[in-house]
Amino acid sequence: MTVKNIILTLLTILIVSIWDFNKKGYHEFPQLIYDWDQKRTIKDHGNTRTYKLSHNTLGLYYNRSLESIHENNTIEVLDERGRPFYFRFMYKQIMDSIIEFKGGIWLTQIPKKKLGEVRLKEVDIPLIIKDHKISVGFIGITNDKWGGFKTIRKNIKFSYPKINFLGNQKDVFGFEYSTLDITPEGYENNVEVPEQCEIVMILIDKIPEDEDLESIQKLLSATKDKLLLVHTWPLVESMKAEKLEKANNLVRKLNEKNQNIFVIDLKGGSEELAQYDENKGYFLTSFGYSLFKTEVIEIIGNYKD
Amino acid sequence: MRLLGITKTEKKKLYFWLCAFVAMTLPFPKLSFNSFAIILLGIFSVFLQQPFLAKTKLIKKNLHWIVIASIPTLLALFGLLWTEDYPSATTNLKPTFLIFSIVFFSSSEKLSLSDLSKLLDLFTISVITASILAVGKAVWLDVQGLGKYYFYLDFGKVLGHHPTYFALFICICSIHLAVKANRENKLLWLYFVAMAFLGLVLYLLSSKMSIIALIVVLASSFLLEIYLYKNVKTNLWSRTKLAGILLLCLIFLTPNFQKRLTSEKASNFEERLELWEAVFNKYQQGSIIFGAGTGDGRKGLVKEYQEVGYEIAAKEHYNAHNQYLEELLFYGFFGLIIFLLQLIIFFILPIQKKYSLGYYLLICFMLFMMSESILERHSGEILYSYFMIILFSILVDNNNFIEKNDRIKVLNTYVDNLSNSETLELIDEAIKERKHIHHVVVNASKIVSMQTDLRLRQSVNSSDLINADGQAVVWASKILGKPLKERVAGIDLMQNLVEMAFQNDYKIYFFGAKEEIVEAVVKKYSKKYSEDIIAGYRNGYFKKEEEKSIASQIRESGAHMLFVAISSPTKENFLFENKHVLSNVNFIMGVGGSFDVIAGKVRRAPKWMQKAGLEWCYRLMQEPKRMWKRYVIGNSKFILLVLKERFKF
Repeated sequence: MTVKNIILTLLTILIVSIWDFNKKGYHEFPQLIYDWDQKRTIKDHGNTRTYKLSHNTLGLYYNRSLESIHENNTIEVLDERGRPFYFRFMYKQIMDSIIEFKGGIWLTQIPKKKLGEVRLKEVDIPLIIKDHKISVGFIGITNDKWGGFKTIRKNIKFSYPKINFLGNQKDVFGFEYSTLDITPEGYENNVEVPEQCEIVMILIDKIPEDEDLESIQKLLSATKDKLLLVHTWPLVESMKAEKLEKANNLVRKLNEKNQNIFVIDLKGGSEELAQYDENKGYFLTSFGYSLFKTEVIEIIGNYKD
Repeated sequence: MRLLGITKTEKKKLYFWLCAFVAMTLPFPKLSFNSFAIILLGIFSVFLQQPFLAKTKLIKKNLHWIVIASIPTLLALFGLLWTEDYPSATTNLKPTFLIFSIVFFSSSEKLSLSDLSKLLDLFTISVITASILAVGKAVWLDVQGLGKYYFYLDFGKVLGHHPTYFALFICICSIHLAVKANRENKLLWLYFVAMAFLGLVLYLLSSKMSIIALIVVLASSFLLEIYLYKNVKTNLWSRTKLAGILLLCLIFLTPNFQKRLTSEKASNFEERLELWEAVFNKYQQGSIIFGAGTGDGRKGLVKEYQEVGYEIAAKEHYNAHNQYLEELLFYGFFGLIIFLLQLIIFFILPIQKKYSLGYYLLICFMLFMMSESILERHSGEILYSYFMIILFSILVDNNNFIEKNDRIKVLNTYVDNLSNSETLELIDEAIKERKHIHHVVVNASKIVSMQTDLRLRQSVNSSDLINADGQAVVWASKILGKPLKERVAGIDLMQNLVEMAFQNDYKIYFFGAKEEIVEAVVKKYSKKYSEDIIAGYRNGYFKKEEEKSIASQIRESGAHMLFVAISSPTKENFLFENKHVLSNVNFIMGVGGSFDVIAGKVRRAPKWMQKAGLEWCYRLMQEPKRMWKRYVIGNSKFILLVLKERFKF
């Protein structure tokens, strides 16, 4: 093997590695999905002291200004040396003199030690918009679920980068979605299907009650010009199984009538895809979310082809 | 022969490039590139390298070696018989052991130790390049304000590998560089710079096991020197080794390692013990003899982790973090014994062949296997299977080299049943294929000496090519019912080889005899052929402690052939003990007093006496005082030995 061959081979491997990092580096470094050059300060909250730091919580000593920080935005925490850390959260809790931003993620790295006195800014860091070819409206039942729901859009996006999510809210990673309330009262006021999207993805992580079925029917019938992706509810061994069956039948019936509805039939062994707990309610398991994600990617891929 | 339009030479180059491609892609983050390289090598090996029938024949011939080398794959396949979870089992088959075994044992183009050294060179270059790339990424992220990725798991992220596995890469490279620097004794500054850089990367990775492994390898090199060479010298290298051990111990006091020792709970020894306890409990719940099977080894492990209170292990679904326990879990006591058997075979071969790098690498792997399930990740599985199977196939091939030449046993020695022209052809082929061959000739006197001199016997019998120099040996082979084709006189072979060197642009190193004699030999051949065939020369008078530097000097000369004109058993012992240093020289041969004959100091017997097998008689007449003991007593003893063997008395 000549020196020339060695150099060429090494150079090729190096170029492929750099290209791969440039294209898919966000898998290892999720902070690369944000457009840091477009970072915009919304409000400078001044100095405060940290009370608690963990992988998903930022606890601060309360001041009134902090209460206004919105979950759509990012918190920039500057330590004593001016080094920035970025935190996004799902909800906040105020207890006595403490305010905790919870269910969150650190965009770059979690501070290695307690920060003490910090300066706090509320910033907007948009996602990088490139290679987007399919606009998807994601409508979900709620925004405060843990586990799979928190990462479902991120996982879909990472597996299929051509997708661009649209909605009126931002999740903890910054992906847009819309909330969905399928109770008769809630539906009338809240549901809004983004106009620009070609596909609407609906994820209802809840057992629909009888009175909710009407909302589902309205939602699935209202949008004729977009592809609607809706799933069936995996059955669980509980008194609620009958309700699930009823909702599944409705979805299948609507699917027969409407060409634009595509049903992701989530079938699996008992409690493999979903579970029911008196306290936690009905929820998809990690495997359930993973199956939903796989099916969605496959359908969107086929749809575009 | 052309297969699909590719010539034999092109195929040979392509084969080596594909082997190198596997080694070079491994350290980089994109592992699918490495899988692609392995698939390419596999496809080339099966469909392009040689006709299918020839390949099948080689597989059949080396089947026993293939079985030994692919033990982890075979165990996984065997474990399918009692597993329940087939989907999980398919991810745990470790197919690369079988792929590499078939590739390297059924190849018509055998890799040599020098090829292995080159592959390790290329792997080292790639590890260094991948490390530079990672440092570059870390600096870029830091400059962009996107985080600091300079320590342990964070640095592992920019490398695209688990830190312990990349630390294993670095250990392999460092050991290779140290052994090579020790052997070659040139460009030491370059080795130093490379090792210093790797040391820095190791510091960023802060893998504790890597430091322990390097300390053990350095310490074991002392012990093995005592055992194998029985002469530990207090030279610069020995002092460097001692300093190295001290330096490695001091690394534990540095900030990164202190941070790992004090603040990282998950990888401390007590935590590991907890983890292993849980794994062992799980093992005891299943079949002790056969384990849980290929797909079910870790089933229920999370529950065990929870029971011993190791929450992070339960949450992150940790593996056993110990390859030996992993074997117990999956294939039980039976699997562990079989796995250890492979390790023992891999360990013994380099010791037998005195290939120090081989056992240092294996020590390193075995230590890492104590703290990580090395074969459960792509990086570990490929690194171990690739390099160990190549090494195994080379070391085993030296024996095959002996077998394929129709080797005949005459008393206590083996002799290859080859004519002079067949021997020349074989040597030419070996040089072209960059192999390393140790050639030796035997005569009656040497065979008698080998009765009592066990070192000489080991040296001769471990040679790759043995010819019968004395007519008495040919006669003996006939009496014993295993006739040799003809006598291959060392001096004739040497003269033919010098001519071959001239025709093929090979270079020769002449070593031995007095200074004026060796000078005369060089002068004569330079005049007859060309000065270009001379790589170097040196007289045969030296002190024992000079041996290594002489061997290094020969190695550095770029010689393809080496002729050693020193009396027995000194030349045999020199060649045997320095075989590893001389691994770059394709052909090494002891030629006794041949330089004296070529220089014209001693005359050779007339042709008719040579043909009649009376050359010894002529030598005896020339130097009766020196030769009577050798020929009269030696030959009598030899006759007695042959008769004893023939009539079994």
